[in-house]
Amino acid sequence: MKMRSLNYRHLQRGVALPTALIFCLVLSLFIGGSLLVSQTNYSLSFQQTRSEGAILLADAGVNDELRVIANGASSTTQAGFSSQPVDYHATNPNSATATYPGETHAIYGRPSTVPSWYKPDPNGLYPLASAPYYCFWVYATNDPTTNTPWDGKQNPFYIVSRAADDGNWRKVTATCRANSFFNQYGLFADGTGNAFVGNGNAQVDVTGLLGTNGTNQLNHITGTTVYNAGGTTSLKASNTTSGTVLSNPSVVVFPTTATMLKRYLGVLADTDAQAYSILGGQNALHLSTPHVYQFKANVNQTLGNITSANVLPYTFSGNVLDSSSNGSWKNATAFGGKTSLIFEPGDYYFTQLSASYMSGLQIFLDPQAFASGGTAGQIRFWVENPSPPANNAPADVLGISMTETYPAGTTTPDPGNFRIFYGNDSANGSMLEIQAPDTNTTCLIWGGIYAVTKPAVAPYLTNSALKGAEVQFFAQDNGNTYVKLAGSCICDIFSSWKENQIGFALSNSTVDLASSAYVVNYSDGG
Amino acid sequence: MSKRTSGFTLLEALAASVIMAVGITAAYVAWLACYNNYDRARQASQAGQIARQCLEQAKVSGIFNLPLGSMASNGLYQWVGSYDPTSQTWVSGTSASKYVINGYSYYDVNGFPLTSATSPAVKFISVVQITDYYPVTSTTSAYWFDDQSKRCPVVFVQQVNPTRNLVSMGTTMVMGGS
Repeated sequence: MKMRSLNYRHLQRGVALPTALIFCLVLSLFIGGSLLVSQTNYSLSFQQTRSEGAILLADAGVNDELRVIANGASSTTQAGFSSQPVDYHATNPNSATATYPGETHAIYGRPSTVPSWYKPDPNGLYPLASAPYYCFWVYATNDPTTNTPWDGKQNPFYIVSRAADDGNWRKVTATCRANSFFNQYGLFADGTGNAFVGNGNAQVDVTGLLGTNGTNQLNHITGTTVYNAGGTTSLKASNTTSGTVLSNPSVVVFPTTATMLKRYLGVLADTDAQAYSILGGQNALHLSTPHVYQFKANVNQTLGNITSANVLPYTFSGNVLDSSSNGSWKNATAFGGKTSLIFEPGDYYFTQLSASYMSGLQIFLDPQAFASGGTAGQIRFWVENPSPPANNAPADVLGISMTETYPAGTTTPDPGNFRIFYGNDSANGSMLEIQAPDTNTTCLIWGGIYAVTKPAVAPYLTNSALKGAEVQFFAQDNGNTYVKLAGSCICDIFSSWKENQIGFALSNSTVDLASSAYVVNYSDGG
Repeated sequence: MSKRTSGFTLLEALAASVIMAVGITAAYVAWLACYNNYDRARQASQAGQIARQCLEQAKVSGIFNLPLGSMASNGLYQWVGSYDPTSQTWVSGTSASKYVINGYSYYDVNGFPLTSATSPAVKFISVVQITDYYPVTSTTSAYWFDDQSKRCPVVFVQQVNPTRNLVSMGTTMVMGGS
């Protein structure tokens, strides 16, 4: 009986147990799937947030590099004025390193240091996640596909920034344009040490930003924004009713004229003398033919007559622009009491400017290349004497009437089309003196003047043999015949004889070297 | 199936009940985990949106229109506060503002700004810290910026009940930057 009973129970299997098990199995599959989905969703939400954080961080990298470029504008090395597309960790072992997804090498570029990004929370401060979990790597390049370092000259150029926010990566590439050195100040004169911006009796009307690292003695500063760098109180001028006065505890440092030349030539490793020597060699291309022109015979020598049909190539003799006894103009065609030299776009190297005012002599600056029928461009006068005499005052004088061509549809020249780079230090009396003509007219120059030999940084600042490059505007009398610069002047020392004017005018040049840069396009590359 | 084997035995019913009970309990626990995941994911997403929105607003304001701070103990110029969408201003400290209370912004679970810090609906708190590097001083404002200055806004978003730091997001702004 017992046996029968057991056998009976063994055979008495129903559907409840398997149904419950199947139900549990289905439920567990369903719940498991839901858990997986919710967990994935949870993870993705954080990743999405971090990804957004990463792109903002990459964006921070681009902007941080813009600041590096602005800060390094005076550097004499490529690595000094931008971050390089190299593995920084190889030479800076303490820096953060990581590998960007899909790449096989350490990320190129300068890793970020983001100090003081702390949470201002009443519960206490805590830092953001640290590198490499929260970090950007950034560099400037001529070409983002080949990662060629930016040469400081190409315009536009690119900034590439990669960033990680807790394991989530983004990369952005920004197309940037250079801000010209001549697009910031109406007048910047270093003025450190015993040098001043302006001599005590000078009156100069300056519009635009007036900056200095030293002391400003210019009179007649009205409504101008004054930029005092170097942490000094530097307004000693009278008749001064300035607008805003900005003060920067740090000095503003411009590259020397020679460094500018080396950057133009792409020979940063050369000495100053070597760079000027290279430039002198280029005079065969520029000061001779076919970059200097004269008018043909019997052609009225006016701006409107500068066409290829009206001009002839002119062979310039020597490296001095000389107006004495017609000097450099001696072999040019004269007509109607005028003798003209026409300069086409290019670099001209003069060892001296000895071009005081002479009635009848003219200079036409032709950045539009109307004379040659060639390509419009910038005209750059480089002035530097490799062997200046002991008493060289004032050394370089430019008082010849200068007129500049401008494109059809405009009424004034572009101040970005003409530059004078002056490389003589004033320790021996050298000075670039722009003279107003000895007539009842204004000397109006559209362009930029750059004269820096002693920037406010070692080793220049501590070199007692240097005094700085000086630019002087020389008016014949107050109010009638004066010098007016429409553009920008950057120099170590600025002085003015009687009353002159500087009016800041924005340059449209794309060939000026970069004092800073700005973003024009932006792509999120991953 | 034979007549003898149809129906449930007590043992079978008990076993099935236990299995069902365990299964349903596990399902409930799993459902709770799913819901928590969903809720945290939503909050993370919402906090990210709040932070992103705040930084985008900083970029729209621009380097010269963001508020100026004061010298902090670390020698840097810092400002702490939040953006008020109604007045479209950056508000710090105890300045009167509809949506910024003592420099903090408060949001509900859907990311909508709240006018009260003590509302039971408060789910998120956000605050912005702007640190300024290399500013220049000015006679017409506390300080000013040139091309060597940089401003670093960082947004922190915290969840309340329970208190948890959800998101910190920052960037750097300069003249001419993106």
